[in-house]
Formats: sequence, C-alpha cells, structure tokens
Amino acid sequence: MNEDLTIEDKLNFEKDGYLIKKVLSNELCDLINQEIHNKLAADSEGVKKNPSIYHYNENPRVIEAWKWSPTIKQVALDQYILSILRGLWNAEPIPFSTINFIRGSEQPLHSDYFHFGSKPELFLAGVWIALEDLVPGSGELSIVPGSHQYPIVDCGDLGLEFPKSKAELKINNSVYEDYVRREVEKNSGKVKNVLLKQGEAVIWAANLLHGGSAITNVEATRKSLVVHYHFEGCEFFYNPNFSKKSIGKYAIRKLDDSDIRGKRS
Amino acid sequence: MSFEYVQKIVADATETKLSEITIDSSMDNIVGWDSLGHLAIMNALASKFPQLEDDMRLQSLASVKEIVDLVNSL
Repeated sequence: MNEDLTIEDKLNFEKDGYLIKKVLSNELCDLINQEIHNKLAADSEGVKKNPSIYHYNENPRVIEAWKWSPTIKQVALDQYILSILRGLWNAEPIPFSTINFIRGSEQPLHSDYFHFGSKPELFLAGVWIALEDLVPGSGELSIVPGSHQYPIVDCGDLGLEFPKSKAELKINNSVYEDYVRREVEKNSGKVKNVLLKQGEAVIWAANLLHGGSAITNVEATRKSLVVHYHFEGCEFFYNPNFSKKSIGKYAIRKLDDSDIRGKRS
Repeated sequence: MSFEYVQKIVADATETKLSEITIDSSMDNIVGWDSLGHLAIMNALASKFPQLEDDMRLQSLASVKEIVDLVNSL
C-alpha cells in the first residue's frame, strides 16, 4: 500500500481526474522563484521560452529550466511526487518537461494529452505547483473536474491536416480549443478555479482539461511550475497534434534528450 | 532550385525570416527549429514528396544542407 496515497485519494482521482497535495516546502519554492528571477534578470533573451504559438498574452513561460537549475531538476525528481505518481499510474514516472510561469498564461482550456500521447494511452501526468500563495484575479489555474474522461482526440479526429508550418499549427490549435469549448458545454462541465497555497500542487490525469483564467488583477503574479511525466513500460510516445491514429499515423516522440533523469542505458 | 524550396519550408515551419535561412542553418542555430518546427518540416516534405511519408530519414534531418541533399537524391 502506498503510504502517500489514501484510498479516498485514489477514488477521488478516478472520479475527478486530479488531486491536490502539499509537495514542496515554502523555502524550496522561494529558492526556485529567486533562481528564475536571477536568470531572467541576467539573460532574459537567452532563457528558453514556449513557442509563440502558445502565447496568449505578454507573459512568457520559461521552459526546460531543469537544464540549468539543479533545484528545479530536484523538484522533477522529488521522491514524494514520484511516489504519488507511482501509486496512481502503477508505473515508474519519467519526468520530461518543466514550465515555469511568472504570471498567468490565460491559456484556453486544453488537455496536455493533445500534445503528449503515449501507447498504451493516457500514461501522462501533470504536476502543477504553486510557488507562492495564489491570489484571486492572478489568472488562476482552471480545471474541469471529470473531463479526464472525455474522448482522446488527435489531428485526424478534428478533421485537420498535419501542420506544415507554425502558422498551420496555430490554426490547428485554435480548432482544438474550439472543440474543447464545445465538449465542456456538451458535457455540462464545470470550470473550477484553483487557488493554491505555496508548495501545494494539482496532480492531474492525462486528459484533464485545464487552462489559465482571465487576469483581472494585473499587479498579481502567478509564480508556478508544472512538471510533465510519462511512464516506463509504454511502447512509444507520440504527438497527437501531428497524428492520425485512425490511419495508423503517429508522430513519434523520443524522450532521449528530455528525460530529466538523464541518459538511460 | 532545391535550396530555395527547402529554405521556404524551413522558414515557414520555424517562423523564421526567409533571409535568415541559409545553407548552414540547422537545429542548432535556428531558434524556431524545435520539436514542433521539426515535425512541421517533416510534414511539408512528405506533402510535396509522398515517397518520403514513412521514410525514417526525415526524423534525423537536422540541417538545411541535409534536407537539400535528401531532396536532390529523390
């Protein structure tokens, strides 16, 4: 029995598609915030950020900070987090992506699974950690409880062609976001804003819909970190945004360089 | 002809100005040539040259020169 997960945790996760747990100390969160601040102050242009097609406002998102921050890498490999994920997926987690936010992203509702697929399906986890006490109006994380059970979709399911440019990718993404809005309405999904305390995390299932709510308090920050995990034992990983499973076309993703644990023999 | 064609594909796929794509351009020096940009390049090539659709060589293309060489070999 996993001591870090209760039976109630597992049942709630199965029903709602997410759990909230305190995963980091406040001191560690403060250290990460300082590292991000220092890095951006020293070399803002040089810090890797999300592609512009995924920007919905002027607030940048720092990606792959684990590559230069031992502290952020340590979080991705945190044993308590890994233990929870092992308990929920019954497989060994593979951290492969970190994104740091300073302010709210205002990103429309989406599932990470539209970008990070696996075979067998749904071996993907998101661990979204508040690095400060979040305040209303900061563009809080929004989730749709239960939406993890909505259908998995790919490029082909939406009647789209494989993107051949970033411009086409952006169009495909917009079509996907419209589809999500209709799905939420069709299923009478309830959008819930989550106000976390420093060090608390939302751990979400592969297909849970989430996004950034509108920022109404422009002074507020929303310092946070999300780590994405796949799991060992999968046949392969793929990008649904570039795939059509119905005709057996998968855009394969290799984790060789993005496995935060390092090269595996 | 091949270079100009590849130049346009890479520019569109990576959201880079056409003039900044040279024969020496690669994943190492084009910011937008990330994993998404690479997939877009692969799709553009497969769309123009259907015989490349399941060709594993597409995945390992890492520079404009390599793409031009591949296209010239078809």
